[in-house]
Amino acid sequence: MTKNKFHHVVILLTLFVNCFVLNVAFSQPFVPAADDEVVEVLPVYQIFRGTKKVIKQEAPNPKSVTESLEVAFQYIEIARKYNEPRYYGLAESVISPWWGDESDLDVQLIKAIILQFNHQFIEAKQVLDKVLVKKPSYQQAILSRSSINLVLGKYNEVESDCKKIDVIQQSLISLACFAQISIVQNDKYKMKTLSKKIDSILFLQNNYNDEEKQWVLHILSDLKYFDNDKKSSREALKNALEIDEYSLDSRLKFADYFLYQGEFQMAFDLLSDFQNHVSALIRLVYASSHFSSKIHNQLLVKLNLQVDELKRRDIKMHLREFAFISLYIDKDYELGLKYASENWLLQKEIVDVALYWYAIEKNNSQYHRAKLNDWKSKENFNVDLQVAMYYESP
Amino acid sequence: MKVLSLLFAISFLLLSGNGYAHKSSDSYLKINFENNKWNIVWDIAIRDLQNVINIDENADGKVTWGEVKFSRPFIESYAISKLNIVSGEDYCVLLPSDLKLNRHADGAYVVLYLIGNCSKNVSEVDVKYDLFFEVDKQHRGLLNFKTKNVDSSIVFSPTEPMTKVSLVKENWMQTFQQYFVEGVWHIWIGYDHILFLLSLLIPMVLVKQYPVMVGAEDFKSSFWVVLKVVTAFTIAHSITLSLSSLNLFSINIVIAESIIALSVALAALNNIRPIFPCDRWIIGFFFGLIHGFGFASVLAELQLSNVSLGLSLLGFNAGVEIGQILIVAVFLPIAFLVRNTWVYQRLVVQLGSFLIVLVGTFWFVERTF
Repeated sequence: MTKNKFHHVVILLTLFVNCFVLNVAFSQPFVPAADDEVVEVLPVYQIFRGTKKVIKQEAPNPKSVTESLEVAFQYIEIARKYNEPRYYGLAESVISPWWGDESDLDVQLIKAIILQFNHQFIEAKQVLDKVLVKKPSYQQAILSRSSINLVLGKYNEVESDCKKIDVIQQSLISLACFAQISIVQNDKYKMKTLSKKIDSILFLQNNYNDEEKQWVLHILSDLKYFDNDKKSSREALKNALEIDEYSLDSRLKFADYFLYQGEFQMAFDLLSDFQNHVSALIRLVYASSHFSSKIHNQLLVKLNLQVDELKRRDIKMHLREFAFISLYIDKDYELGLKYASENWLLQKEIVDVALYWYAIEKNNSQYHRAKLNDWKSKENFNVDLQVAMYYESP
Repeated sequence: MKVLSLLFAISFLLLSGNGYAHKSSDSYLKINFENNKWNIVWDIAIRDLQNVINIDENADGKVTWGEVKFSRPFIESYAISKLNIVSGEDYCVLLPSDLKLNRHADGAYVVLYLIGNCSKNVSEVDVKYDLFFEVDKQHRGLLNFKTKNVDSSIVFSPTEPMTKVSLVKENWMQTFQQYFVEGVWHIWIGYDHILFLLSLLIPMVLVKQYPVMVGAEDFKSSFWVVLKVVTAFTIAHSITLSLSSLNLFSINIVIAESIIALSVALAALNNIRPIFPCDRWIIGFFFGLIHGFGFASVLAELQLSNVSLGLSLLGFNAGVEIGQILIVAVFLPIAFLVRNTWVYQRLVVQLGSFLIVLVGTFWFVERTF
């Protein structure tokens, strides 16, 4: 046997053993050895680790819409901030008696958020359109609609929403709203101007809460990154993470930055405690492939189990992740293009467009390239996708 | 006022797009029926159970195995109250037999082992599921139902909390029907397939009487020519649809879609200026092979299971054929009635074919470049 063949056999055997061990560890029922063995740490306590804050756990009074809304908004806050999707379901249940009541605009706002979570973007937008007909100055509904328009790639409509927010209250929020447009349209002048304004407001004014600052810092990081100021981009992400080190959202953003730069160990270290979240796990698998085949193989088995479970439930909601896995991990470019194109039809955030573009380049698909280019020129999407791509360029 | 302040507090979050990937609440239910015995294994997330049963007795946020064991009667009685296997008027009695733990993607799950006592000689049951629906509308129950002859997967949701399962054999009629409808639907919304078929059919109510085309004398002769072409098209696309669906042979879907578009243009062009020196059934057969790959890509998107692959394939194919026959059944009598008119011979045959050429060419360019 040649050395090369021997090497392959060893890899295959290692993979086989890993698969076997992990498969046993993850899929076989077992009985813990001792009664005091901790078998689960409940997320609500993970979330509020070290603080006295406890959310209202008991069921709200089903007759009180005010009380139910209060609980539902708390659930949604947790779901968004800590990537705990179960809380969307809890929120939906809490407001379910009023789900169809179009006269209650707060209920309708939550309904739109839940529809958005379900990737029913058009339906969510329709709900918000109705709300805004009844109350055009409802800032939260405008903000929500602008985020949906951003996902749908309707940048003119995002801009129109940003202007409405600006009229109601010119603030860091409206600036960040405009900043997102300037990024996708790659308008360097606007990017620089908005970046300076946001920087100075963040530095001078302290009347914004942590979550607002964190969100704005994420956008500021993008502004700097796409303006080729990598150092400031990193600084913004660092500041965002310092606000709440348990925020998975911030960790994922920061990990993406490291992956863009090819700093795989850094990305890995940031997410290593979050293996139960598929978004984190995908990045861990990709990052580890660059420095440890052993860890990579172990995590890959875990990822495959997660993917199987996700596929059993609903493929549509995870097309982005499946595209990423096919393109970057499995290197199945044909399947990657299928997922990436379907995902792009559904959502068009920068990462989605970048994945689609990468898949097109890998497959050299003239048909999809024309489709993407048509849309880009129509919507004035000018992001340098090479910059928005992960480390490995096509 | 409190609500309003909360609204303000979350307003920034609404701008953050749709977030990252997520896994909502699921339970994994396996029901096995063999030799008149019902064995049920049910994986339920501890974090979900905590929403309805206070498993974390000391409220430290950490659930120990001892706490799970202490809560066992509550877990079992809650879960059993949320699952009903019903045959006619008879409810199966579900009895707990064991409790273990399992690790899933999103954390620890208790594994409930249940034994069902149901009426003997049952041929069909309704499975009703409403675990957690009262507190979590996004929860889903992922059922795998196995008998000697059946292996089916079903997803329960608040809007679909019940399913009927046949114990005798696979509910082949339902599977067949489902894919049959998909087949009919695909041919009806697949404008490229319809236009290709119409391009072949348009001149079939005419016969050549040198130097012009005139209307065919009798319906029977037109019918037989049409039947020949449609049969050739059907056989051809059935071959490639089957080969591709069984993963025996396939071609790149982008190439297939481009050739399908080209086939539309060429078949229509052949009506204006004959370019194929052969019978139309041969054209139908040749391009039918390519259209089959197009059908296969649709079938692939429907996520077939290995168990029902053959049946689904048959149903889908039958649906496509029936859809096709309905199109022919509408088109042929009308075309035959108006075959001798100037409108048909000039406008439909010449101008209609010309328009189809344009559409086909546009599709070809769009799909290829």
